[in-house]
Amino acid sequence: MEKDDFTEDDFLGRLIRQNPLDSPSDDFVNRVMAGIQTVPEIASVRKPIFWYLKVMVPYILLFMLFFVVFATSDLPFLNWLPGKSYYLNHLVPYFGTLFAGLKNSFSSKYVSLGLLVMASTAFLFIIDRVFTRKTAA
Amino acid sequence: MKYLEDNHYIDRVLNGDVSAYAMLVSKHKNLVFSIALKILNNREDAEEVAQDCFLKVFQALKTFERKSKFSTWLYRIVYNAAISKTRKKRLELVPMDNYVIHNYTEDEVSGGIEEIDPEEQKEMIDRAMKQLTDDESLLITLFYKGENSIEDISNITGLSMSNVKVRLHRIRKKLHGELAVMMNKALN
Repeated sequence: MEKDDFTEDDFLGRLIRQNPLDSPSDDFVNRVMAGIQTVPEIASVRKPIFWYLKVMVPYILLFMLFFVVFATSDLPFLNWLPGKSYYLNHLVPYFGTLFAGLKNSFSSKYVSLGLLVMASTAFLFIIDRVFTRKTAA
Repeated sequence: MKYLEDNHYIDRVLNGDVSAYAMLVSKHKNLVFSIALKILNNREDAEEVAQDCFLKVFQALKTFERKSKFSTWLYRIVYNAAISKTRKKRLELVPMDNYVIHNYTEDEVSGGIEEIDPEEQKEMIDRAMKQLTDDESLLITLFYKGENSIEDISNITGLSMSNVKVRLHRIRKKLHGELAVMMNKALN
C-alpha cells in the first residue's frame, strides 16, 4: 500500500537526491556579482500606500475614541483636554448639520439603496486592500 | 561546501558587505537555474533569467520582510520571471482521472531496486525522471532536490496545497511505475 504521507523521507526521495541538479556555467556567480557592482545601491525601502493606511488604522481609532468618547463626557478632570471646547462648540454642531444632510439623502428608497451599495462596495474594497496578505514581494 | 543560514548572509549584505551576496548566489544558483531551465527548456535563456533574478533580488533585499523563507521568495521570483519570459501557462489544477497511474507500490519497487547496483540505480532514476513532463519534473525537483515543503511549493507556484500534494502523489506513482518497468528489465 502506498504511504499516504510521502512528506517524510522515503526511498524515492533518496534516489532522486542522488542525481545532481542542473548547474549554470562556471562563471555564473562572477557574472552576477559583476552585475551587482553596476547597481548603485540597494533599493531603498518603498512601502505601498496601503501599508501606511494599515498602520494608521489603530491611531485613527484611538483618535476617534479620545475625542468622541472622552471629549464629550462630563467628567471634570477631562476639561484640560486641548481643543475640547472648540470640538464641542464647533465640530459637534458641524457634524450634526452634515449628518442631517445625509439623512435627507436617505429620504428616497432608490437613493438609499444606491448609496448603500456604493458605501458597501467602497468599504469592502478598502478592507480587501488593507487586510489582504501580499503574496508577491 | 557548507553554507550558513540565508539570514546570516542577508544581514551581512544589508550591513554593507556586498561580497556576502556571492555566497547566497552560490548556495541557490543550481536550484534557481534548474527551475528556470525546466520552464524555459533552454540553457542560455535559463541562465539569463537566473542572473536577472539574482540582480533583482539583490536590489529588493531590503524589502524582504522575512515572513517566508528567503529561498521561497527567490524561487517564486524565478518561477514568475521564467513563466513571463516563455509566456507559458502556469501550472494548472488537474482532475483526478487525468493520468493513467501504474499500480506499483513503493514497497514493491524499493524492495527490488536495492538489489541493483547504485550506479545503475542513478541511471534508472535519471531515465525515469526524463519521462516526466516539465511541470512534473519542476514539482519533484522543488520537493526533493530543493527540499521545499508542500506549503513552500504552493507559495512558489500559486497552486493550492492540496493540489500540490495530489500532483506529487501522482508523479511519485508515475515514477514508481517507470522504475518498476526498468527494474524488471534489469533483473530478468
